Amino acid sequence: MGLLSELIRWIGNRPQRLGVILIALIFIIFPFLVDIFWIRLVAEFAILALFALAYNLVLGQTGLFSFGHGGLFGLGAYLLAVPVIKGMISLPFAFVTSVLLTTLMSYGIGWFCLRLTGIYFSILTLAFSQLIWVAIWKFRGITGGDDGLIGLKVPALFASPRYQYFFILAVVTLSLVMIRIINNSPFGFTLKAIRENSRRAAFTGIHVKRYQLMAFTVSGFFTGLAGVLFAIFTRGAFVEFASVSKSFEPVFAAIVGGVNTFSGPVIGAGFMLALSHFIGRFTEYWPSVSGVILISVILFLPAGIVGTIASLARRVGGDREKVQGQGVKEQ
Amino acid sequence: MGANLFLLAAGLSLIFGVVSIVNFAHASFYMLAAYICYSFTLRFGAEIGYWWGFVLAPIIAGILGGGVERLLFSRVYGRGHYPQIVVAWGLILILNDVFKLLWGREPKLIPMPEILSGGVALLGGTLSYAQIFGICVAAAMALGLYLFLYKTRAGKIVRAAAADPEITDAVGIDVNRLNTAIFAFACWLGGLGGVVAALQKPASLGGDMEIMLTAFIIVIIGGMGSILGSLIGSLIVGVITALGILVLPRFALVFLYILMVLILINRPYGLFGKPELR
Repeated sequence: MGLLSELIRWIGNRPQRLGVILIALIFIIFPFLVDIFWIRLVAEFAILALFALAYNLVLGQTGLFSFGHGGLFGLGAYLLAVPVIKGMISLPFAFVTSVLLTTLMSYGIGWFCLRLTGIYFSILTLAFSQLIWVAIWKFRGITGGDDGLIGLKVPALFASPRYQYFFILAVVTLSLVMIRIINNSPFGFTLKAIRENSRRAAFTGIHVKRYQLMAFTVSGFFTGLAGVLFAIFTRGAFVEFASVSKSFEPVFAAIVGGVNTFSGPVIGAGFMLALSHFIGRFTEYWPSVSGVILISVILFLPAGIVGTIASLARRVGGDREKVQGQGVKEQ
Repeated sequence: MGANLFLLAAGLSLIFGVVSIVNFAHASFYMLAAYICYSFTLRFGAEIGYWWGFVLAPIIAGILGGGVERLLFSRVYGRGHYPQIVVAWGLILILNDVFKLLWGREPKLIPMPEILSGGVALLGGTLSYAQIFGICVAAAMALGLYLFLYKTRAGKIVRAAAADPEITDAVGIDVNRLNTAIFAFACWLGGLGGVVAALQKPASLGGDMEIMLTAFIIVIIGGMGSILGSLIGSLIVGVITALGILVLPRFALVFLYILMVLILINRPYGLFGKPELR
């Protein structure tokens, strides 16, 4: 009884906590109610959401427009798939090494790219991501080229889609919490300061480049994690994982959802997946539908879906939250 | 190979230099012109149809490009560059579906007109007349662009707008209209490249992306916004690709990307670029 009242008080302080608990319960219970198709779809959604959130650490939080996250994603997937399929190391070990190596690589790539600013930064990230893509494509002996790598052996635990789902869900949730903590830490606020005005941030004594590089590296860590999960999810790796289209997936998710919100990229990822799965079932022309949506959002809803809803809600709910400063980046 | 890429890269560079837009969708206009030209050859036969397409298809691409600039890109000026790239990406998706809808999935090779078939032996290989034709068109355009930019009043205005759009606006030149015109002109150039290239390489779905990336390498190597850079860049890329194919065929593309990364690291703004055009 004491526990329950404690729980009620904990929720009572912040009503949105109830929402979080409800969503968590839905995600935990629903795999027991639906068939494998839906379980797999939601698992894919979780991975994509992580990818988008990782990306938004760079775009939304720090204000850097990176084009190269597809490359990092593919790198994570291949660094897991190659050694495991070749039987060099076991999957759990590869899981750790892949994420670490991808983080290291993103540090290196970030170091080079951040020597440039603005559009040149974006293009150099694209160049590196293309380099990874081309390398995967051409080094057939190791990567299988455009045939990809299939037949990733996973431990018996993952053989059941449901267990695999829970594993993915656990990793993604943990990462989500970590990203949330990072966003609201002094580090995260420093990044925001850089995004808003990097020159002013530099005047206050912030080493702008160093913080940007850290943000890029942290983002690379989570991107690699998403890539690794996706390799496990698909039981292999394909050259498309590192393609330009892959680089655009988190861009779409973040922008459609709202770059200056925390949940925006997640919602955007769900939106994108729904688009490709359900519109894709009716017509093969779903890419143009997503193109139209993308352009419309950029032109008419620059704050994205979540950002627009949040500002509407704020207007309706009075100015209570205005104390948190203009352009509230909460939620 | 290098010739049609120059036409594409020059347009790309021109748009970047003057309008400050990185038109990621540029190659889609290139592909559009190639497809339209193909339709002309279907309608009027290979002999006359190609020349109709050669003249009209780039114009259609140019008009469409101008329309797109007015309708979409002009709305995101001054909002940083990422909205532009996103708009361009949306455009690529849409145009690709349009190609699929109108011309189907199969690659479309334009039938060779009689005059351009055959070739001459040169240095052990053969240079086809179609290739020579492409080189001639590209050379004529390079010369034309140079004369236009440096010898005419309109060219002076374009260079002024590239150097400082605000001041150019202030002295009474309608920079908005100029932007649209440049965009249309660049798309026309790109379309010309597509029409010339379609003789040797079929227009295909996804081909625009491939060619776009190569054009980007050229522009980056040469320096964004520099026409001379585009020319040198396309020569370098052409040579590297040819050498790469001779030495290690499968890794020609890898060489290209490594070259680009190396150049960017040493000369971040390309061989002929200026820092921070924004």
